Amino acid sequence: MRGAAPHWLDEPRHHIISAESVARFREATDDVAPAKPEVIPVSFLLAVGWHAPFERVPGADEHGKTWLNAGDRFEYERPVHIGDELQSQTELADVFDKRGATGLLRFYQFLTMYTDMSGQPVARHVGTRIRK
Amino acid sequence: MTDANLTVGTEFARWSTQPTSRQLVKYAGAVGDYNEHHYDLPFIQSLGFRDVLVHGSLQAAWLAVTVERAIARNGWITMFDVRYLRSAFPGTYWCEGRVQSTSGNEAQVALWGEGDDGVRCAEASATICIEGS
Repeated sequence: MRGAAPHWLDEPRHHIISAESVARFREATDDVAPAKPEVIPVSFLLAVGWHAPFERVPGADEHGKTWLNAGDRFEYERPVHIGDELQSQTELADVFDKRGATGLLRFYQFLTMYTDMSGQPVARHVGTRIRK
Repeated sequence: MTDANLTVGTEFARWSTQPTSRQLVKYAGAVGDYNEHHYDLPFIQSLGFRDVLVHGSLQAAWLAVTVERAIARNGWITMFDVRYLRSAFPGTYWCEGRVQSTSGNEAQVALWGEGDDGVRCAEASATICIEGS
């Protein structure tokens, strides 16, 4: 069942992609000797603009006490490089229910848009989380 | 692999990793995800799980590494879409993938990750833009 997502927009954020943060991410993800060390790994966006927005959504406590990860989608307009300066903003894009083996589950989809400093789109991330 | 052999059916090198609770903490720090599921054993056992959970997004990162190793400097990922199918735990985690289709300078690939029991924990699809083709 899909319903209208309550309007929720997080604060805009500003990021500079640091070599140190990318190195830390690569080390934690077994990404040794990358062919393109100057380009961020595709899911590194989670370390950039994803600040657990699901923990701040009003009303979520009514539907469970914990969060599970259902999926992530990343789309890029261009590769993102170390040293790039980005802006991001996350919004609650959709809320819907699905019946699972353990009963009805509530899904929240968060859309984070990444732009460069001139406002040109660079990437987007859709994170789907389950309240259980 | 180079763009010359990025053909339908091409299989990426299957590889495994052995996530430990230490690695989960390192990943939590790298992405700022401090959900108790990934380090607090009594907490996660109170929810009915047998062990701490491997982050879904860490599985995504491993699957992305599978592609990135294969394409090397010959392309880049324009889209990566992953679904987490069931919980993964510390132990051995296997990553695999293959080219599903190609068109022009793009290739669609399928990826999956599974535990030691051979049951899939995550499935992903990705679009690769091949450079220089």
